[in-house]
This record gives sequence, C-alpha cells and structure tokens, in this order.
Amino acid sequence: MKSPSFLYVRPESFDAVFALLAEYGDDAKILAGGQSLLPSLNMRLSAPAVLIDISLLQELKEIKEVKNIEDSNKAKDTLHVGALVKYCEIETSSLIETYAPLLYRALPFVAHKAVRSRGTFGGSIAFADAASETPAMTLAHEAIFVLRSALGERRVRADDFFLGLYETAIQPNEILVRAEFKKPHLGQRCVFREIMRRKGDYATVGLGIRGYINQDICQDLRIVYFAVADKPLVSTRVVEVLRNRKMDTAGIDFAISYLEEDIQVYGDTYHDEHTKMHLIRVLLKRSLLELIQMEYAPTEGSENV
Amino acid sequence: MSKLMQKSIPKSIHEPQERIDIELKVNGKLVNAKVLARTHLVDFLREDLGLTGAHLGCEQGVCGACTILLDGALVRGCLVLAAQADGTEIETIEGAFQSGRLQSLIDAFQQCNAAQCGFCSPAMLLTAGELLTRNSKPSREEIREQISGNYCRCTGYQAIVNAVESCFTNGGTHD
Repeated sequence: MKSPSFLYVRPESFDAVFALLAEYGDDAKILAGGQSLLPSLNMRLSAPAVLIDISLLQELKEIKEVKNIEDSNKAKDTLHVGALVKYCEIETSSLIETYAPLLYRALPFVAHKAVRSRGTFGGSIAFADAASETPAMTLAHEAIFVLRSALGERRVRADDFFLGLYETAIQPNEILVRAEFKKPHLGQRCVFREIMRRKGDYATVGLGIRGYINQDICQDLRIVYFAVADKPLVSTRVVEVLRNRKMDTAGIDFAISYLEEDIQVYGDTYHDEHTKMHLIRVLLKRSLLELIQMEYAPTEGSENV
Repeated sequence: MSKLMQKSIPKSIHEPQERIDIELKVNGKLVNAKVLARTHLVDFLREDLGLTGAHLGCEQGVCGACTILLDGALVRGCLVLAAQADGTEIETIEGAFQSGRLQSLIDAFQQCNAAQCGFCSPAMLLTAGELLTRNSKPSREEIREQISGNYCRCTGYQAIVNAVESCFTNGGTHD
C-alpha cells in the first residue's frame, strides 16, 4: 500500500527540529533511515501529520572514540555512536567490534543488505521493536542514551530506556542523539544467537550474553533476551543462580531450570508462549555452552530444535 | 537550467510542505521534479519517469522487487521517499542495461534460465551485480546471502545462483 498524506520537512539544525517538535508534538514523527517508519506508514499503522527528516544533522552521523586521558583508573574510554549511523557502517566498524561486540555480531542478522544500507542505529533504538536485535544488544552492553531537547540533554541508561512495546523514555520534545558504550575489559566473552524462520527476518527468539570466565566461574555475566516479550529483557534469576557457581554442563542445566522465574514470555502470531519458552531454553543452553567453549551435544530425547 | 550537482547533499526545507522540489540524477541524467511528500521513490521512477524496471511487490520492504541503487548502495525503492532522494544519484535496471555494465550477468541469466516470470529479475540483477563489483569470485554461500532479501516466487533460486556463479567460472553454465 501507499503512505497516507503527510507534510515533509528537512531542517538543518537541532533548534529547527525542536521548534517543529514544539509546534506539532505527537503529530510529528522523526524520519531517520525510514526502514521501519516507512513500512509502518505503507501499512497505515501510523499517520503522522509531519515527517521531520533529520538527515542533515551531521553530528548524528559520527562514530567517535572518546579517550579518557585524565584518569586511566577511574573512567574508561567510551564509544559514541550517533543516532544516524547506518547499519552498514556498524557492520564494518572495528570500533563497534571492540566496544559493542554483541551489536557487531548481531548486525548480519538485521534484515538484508538493501535495508542495512539505509536503516539507522538510532531509528531502530527509538522504534524499539521488541524482536529487534539492536535495542537488545545495546541493552546487553548497558549503553547510555543521550536525549536532547530545547532544554538541554539528559542521559538515560538502557535499563531505564525501553519501557514496552514500541515505547521508550524519549519524550515528544526530545530526539535521540547517540548511545555511549564503555570499553569492555580484555577477555570479555560474548555470544549472540537467534532462531528465525528465514535469515534477515525478525527473530522468533534471540539472546546476547557477555561475561568473563575465570577458573570456571563467570563474572559480570549479563544475559538479554529478545523477541520474547514486549521489550528486551535482562536476565536476573538465571544470572543470580550462576553467580559463583561452576560453569559446567551441570551448573548450566541447574541455572536454566530457573528460566521460568527469569522471564515471562509472550506468544506472537506464529509461536505461542510455550514454544517460545522452549526455544529460548534451548538457545540459552547452547549459548552458555558456547560461552564456556563447549560443544552442544543433544542427548536422545533432549530439547532439540 | 541548474548546474550539475555536487554529490549527495540534499537541500534543507524549512517549512513542512506537501509538495517537494527535488533534483537528482537518474541513470546519469539530471532530473528536476516536484513530488508529493508521500510519493515513494519507486513510484516516482515508474510513474513520473516511466522507468518501470523496478517492480512493486509488497511495498513494505520484504520482497526486494523494487531494489535500485542510490549513490551506489542497494536500497528498497518502496522504503525511500522521492523527497529523500533529493541530491542523490539513482541507477535503475534501465541505466545498468544501457551502460552495458551488467551485460555478462544478463547473458548468464538467459543461459542458465534464471528468469522465469521475470518479476524479480531486474532487482536480482542489480543485487547480484553489486556483489560482483565488490567480490569478483563470491562463493555460492555469499551469493545466496546477497540475494537473500530478494524473493523469487517462481523459486528459481538455484538457477539464479548458478547464473551469478557462471559469470566467473570460465563462462561455463550449469545443468
């Protein structure tokens, strides 16, 4: 289908964007790469009065490493990823690979080449699709989001940013400027996995894991699940059970038995909550085994996909 | 008559408008037009410029039939507004055909019977052609990955991959 009618504007300054947001409020939508917004317009799922194309805001296009030279003990180096950085740029950025390896690994699973050439990092974050890789992996890396309005800037932790289905902490007078990633320590291990019907489609279920393995104990373990609920979910219970526990197959099996206390899973059109729970359990086991660099060897009658 | 543009810098538009003036290069020719804000680039190309090689399938970015090149990058013509294409350079299958740059691929598609109904073919050719400009000898896996966003509802994928592969395997064709 075709988009409904709307007005289009392409301002060249933040002030002009804020003035338009003040004037049109909820009737305005920010247009970044358009790879989620335009399908939703074409399907008539939204009908904004005005599209504000922010493609002239050059500041939003930067990937910038900010070195901490003052005090090497306290704060770490940070990577600033502008909201208009495209998927195809993230996919090939060695800085992203260093600072946000899960995001880097997830990118080949995001749609297809002709979408990644225009789709933007910030657009995906602001759209906050619960089945999308980008919000989830940004949450896995505990990024900080910088939101700017006419009143100034505020910083929101990823944990406080994703509120629900397509719902974020961005206020109608604000735009997302960038995400900031802290540099991980050496030796961080990461696993990204998802199950999908066709590569490039939205995941049926997926997850990202990072942590440091030290003498069979996993430290600073963080697990984020996506495509399981109305927003990406951070594991609390499974991570707690694994804390100070030996990471072997027995320890992993024991922790996974707490998965139902970890997350509440919602079904979607194709997979009900039982199927999704089953799939995320299988995926979690494979992923934790991958984290400790063990082969996944299904036994007879075990949960195979 | 406007002068030839510098690469890819769209003009700012200060007030929200329903009709947008655009200036872009399509298949090497400078085009000036006034478009409705809601017009998709692929509709502009097909209906205003008569370039019907880019096809409309799903109009939601899934099928890939409207794939064209924008500043050298593959894009979905249904997920770009004509207004967003201001200041850019577009290449469609017509341009690629006229310049001859995809001729060996087109020949390979014919020889391998890689076009059945032909609906996906223009986008398949541009998509596969883009891969061959970056990688002169991709694996079958890489070819499949490249065309993974393009539906062929005749399911002639095997023949399409064969055709792309035959471009660099001594010109030989598959069964």
